[in-house]
Amino acid sequence: MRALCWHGMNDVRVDNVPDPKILNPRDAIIRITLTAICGSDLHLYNGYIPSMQEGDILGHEFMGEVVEVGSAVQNLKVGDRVVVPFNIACGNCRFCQEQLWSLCDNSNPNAWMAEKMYGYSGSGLFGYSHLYGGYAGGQAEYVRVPFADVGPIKIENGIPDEQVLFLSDIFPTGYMAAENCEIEPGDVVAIWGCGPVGQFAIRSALLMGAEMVVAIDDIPERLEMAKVDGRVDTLHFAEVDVVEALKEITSGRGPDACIDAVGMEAHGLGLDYAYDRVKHAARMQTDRPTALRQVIQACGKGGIVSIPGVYGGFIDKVPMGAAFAKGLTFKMGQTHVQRYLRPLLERIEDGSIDPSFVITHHLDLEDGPDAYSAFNAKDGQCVKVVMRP
Amino acid sequence: MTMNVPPHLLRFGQNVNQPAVNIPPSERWLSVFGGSMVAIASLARRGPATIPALLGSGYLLYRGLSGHCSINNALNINRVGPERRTITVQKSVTVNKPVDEVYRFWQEYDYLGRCMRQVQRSHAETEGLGHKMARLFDKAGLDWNAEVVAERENHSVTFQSNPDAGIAHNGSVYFLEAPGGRGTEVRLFLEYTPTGLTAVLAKLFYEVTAQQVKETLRRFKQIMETGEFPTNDGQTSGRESAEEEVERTEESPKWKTSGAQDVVEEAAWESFPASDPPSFNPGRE
Repeated sequence: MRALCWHGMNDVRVDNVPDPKILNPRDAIIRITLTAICGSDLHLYNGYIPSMQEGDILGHEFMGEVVEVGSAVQNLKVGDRVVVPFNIACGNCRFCQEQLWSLCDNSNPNAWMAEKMYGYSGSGLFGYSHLYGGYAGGQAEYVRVPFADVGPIKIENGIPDEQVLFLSDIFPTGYMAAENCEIEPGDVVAIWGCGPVGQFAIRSALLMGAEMVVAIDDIPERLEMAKVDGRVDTLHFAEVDVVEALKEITSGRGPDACIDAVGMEAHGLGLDYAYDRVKHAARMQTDRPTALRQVIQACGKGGIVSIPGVYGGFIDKVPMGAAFAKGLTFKMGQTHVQRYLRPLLERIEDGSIDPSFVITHHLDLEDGPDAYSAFNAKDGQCVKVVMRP
Repeated sequence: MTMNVPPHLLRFGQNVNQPAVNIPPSERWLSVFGGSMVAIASLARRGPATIPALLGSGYLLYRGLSGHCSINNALNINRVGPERRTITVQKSVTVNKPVDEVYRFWQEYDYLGRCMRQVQRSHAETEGLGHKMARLFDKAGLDWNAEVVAERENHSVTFQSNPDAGIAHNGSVYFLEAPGGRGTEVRLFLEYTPTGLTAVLAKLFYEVTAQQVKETLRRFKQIMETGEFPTNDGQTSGRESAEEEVERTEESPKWKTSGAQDVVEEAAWESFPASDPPSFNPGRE
């Protein structure tokens, strides 16, 4: 089959690779009909996630048709149309049973590696380094899905792929980020990063009844995309002092909750950004927390900082004093996608949201390498790329 | 003997590099004798040197009575020799199943023996420093081969190495109810006395063994909770081309052709540990 493989920093290629095989009784093989590139794939592309190996197949946002099931998979049959969550969960461990699916105890075969780095290991992920299990990803014609009796959700009506694909990651990720803000009537939510996750966080916060959402970015077309409702205000971080502007917008109260939908490869301004760029490029720090610092600085007293943006290692110069002085609450982590599949599919079916708004590029899998480079450079107003194998 | 002690009373974090006793008996007597002499002499003739002399004699007395010399320890000198020490490897895991089920499964499958051998063999077949060491120990005939000598239903199993085992060892596994309905705590204690190669490479051997025990328990949890060993062994990647694969296996999936296909009915014992730990690769410049 054809698959998009990682060959090193800024080097991905579409290769001929062997077809996947059922390796365990609870596996299934899916023929992929639509797959996407995620912002977090760029961290792999730029070489900031350790433990990648040449030839690893990328991709964790995909959907398709079941072509083979293992002997223990009872709920799926050949021909079923499914969306597959990016995180792999067994459904049996205590974390899965408490709906904390991305913290699954059992799905990472390389748990020892994550334990060395993080103390404990979370779940395995598709196509996201050997630290997270080394599972082959879904930017390919076919993929093996472990614990297929737990993760995939069947799509039984004729909703187009484009509308349901993002149940695999970015829609639940944006939604959980907003849910973590514990939005109450009158709340103002500020969201850093108007990429795909930020866009879904904005819409989710509005669905949850936020009084106002302030979207922050420096890419005009992304800010434009964010203006979905009269309750959304936008800030271009290079043109205004974000912390002051948020204070003015909220008449001195500050945002009740702030979402960092940027993560480890933040862009910014000023001396602290230059410092981060140099250290990051020299691989002297694993993550570039320019956005997170501003999030902490801008958040109002007693506020919540919700972090869907990915961090991989250590960060420098975190304003812990500000976080402490204002009594902030931090909520973060990989999304528990399985928890949101059914309720968010219902939201799509009843027309409250059409997730396909975020797609800017429809391409073929063969165009993958160019798509990565364009998405990385944010060329051609690229917000979200979907590819057909 | 630690094995009779309830597990929650055992000390954690045993450091194989810092044995409590690191000087031999003859030297301990010398220390006690010397320390006493200095103390008596300095107390008999008091002067400006009395206090330092008393401190020195105090250290000698402590050294002799406890058998532990901090200076030796700092210099990594251990004149007792590692063969005199018993090493305990202690690892535990919480399995999300009731105690009786966990106990029964462990017993039925002779889990420990099966897994320790399997883990050691798998480690021996793969690359990496830890695995090279495992292979070395394996080649040296250092295998774990034990039989159950005592069992208490739904509580514990005690085992002892067979006479032909490469490593003389004994140990116990306790099955304890975890608090708040969190399942079963499986606590394993493995004792061995390093001799020969395992004494010379004591720290390495301990680490390899501790990691093997840990992976053994992890695999136990996985098969108990999920019914399979999560794995990536044999999955596809760009490290092998499609053409090579077809040449090697001469079969393609049934959803592509009508060829017959193996059905995976149960998890293969050979499939763990799941994958060879790869080396870290922070990106190619």
